[in-house]
Amino acid sequence: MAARNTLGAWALLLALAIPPLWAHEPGPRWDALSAEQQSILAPAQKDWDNLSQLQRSRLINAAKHYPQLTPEEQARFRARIPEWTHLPREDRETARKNFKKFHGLPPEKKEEVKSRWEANQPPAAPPTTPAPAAQ
Amino acid sequence: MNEFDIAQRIARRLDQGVRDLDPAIVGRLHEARFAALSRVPVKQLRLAPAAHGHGFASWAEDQHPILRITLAALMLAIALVAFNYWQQDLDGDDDNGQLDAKLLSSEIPPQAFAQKDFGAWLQETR
Repeated sequence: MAARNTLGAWALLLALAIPPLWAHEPGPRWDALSAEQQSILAPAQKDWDNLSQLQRSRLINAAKHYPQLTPEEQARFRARIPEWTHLPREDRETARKNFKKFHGLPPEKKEEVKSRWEANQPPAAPPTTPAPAAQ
Repeated sequence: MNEFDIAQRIARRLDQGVRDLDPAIVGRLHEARFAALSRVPVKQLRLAPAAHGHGFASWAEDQHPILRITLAALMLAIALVAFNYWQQDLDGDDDNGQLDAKLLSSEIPPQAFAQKDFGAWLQETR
């Protein structure tokens, strides 16, 4: 009886631990997305199979807000998808947390933080000029 | 003579019988009592009130070890499930979708927001 109780408890524990495992199984497949979603998230197509369900669902949720962005923002959104999907989860969470804080700052403080970030950027590489053709 | 008097007379006779017991019999009874007490688990001999107090802890202490392990496993499982749902909730809702859309389209790239320096500047600016 006691052994059966223990076995039952461990079976229950295992059964309850399974949802976190399948929760991270791949969610919607690329071909299950609508044409509009595929168009917005096209930069993620190459890596889609390697993304977790959570990453996929968050990208799909983000894509819902894409039409409200300005053309400039839309271009940035799409351009940043590949790097964003390759960031470790902890970094993505830190970025979200800091973005929320940044968003809550008054405009002059935002400018201050932005200036500090810009000042810390490495200088842009000079444009490469093609070597003159040999005469 | 009522029942109480009869009981008292019986008790007196029994006490007298005990006093008149052969010392060898008294010795054997003494040994038997010690032997019996040595087999009783220490937990049952404790007189501390905590062992017989109220609440879940004292109740759990009185249960069979297997049942205690089962309860601990169940509590761990409940904690795991709660943590999992909390994580899913953090990641899945539409507010987070809006946040990600703003973050991906902001002037400052998302990688910058993940940097330690950026977090420090935010702290200093506040």
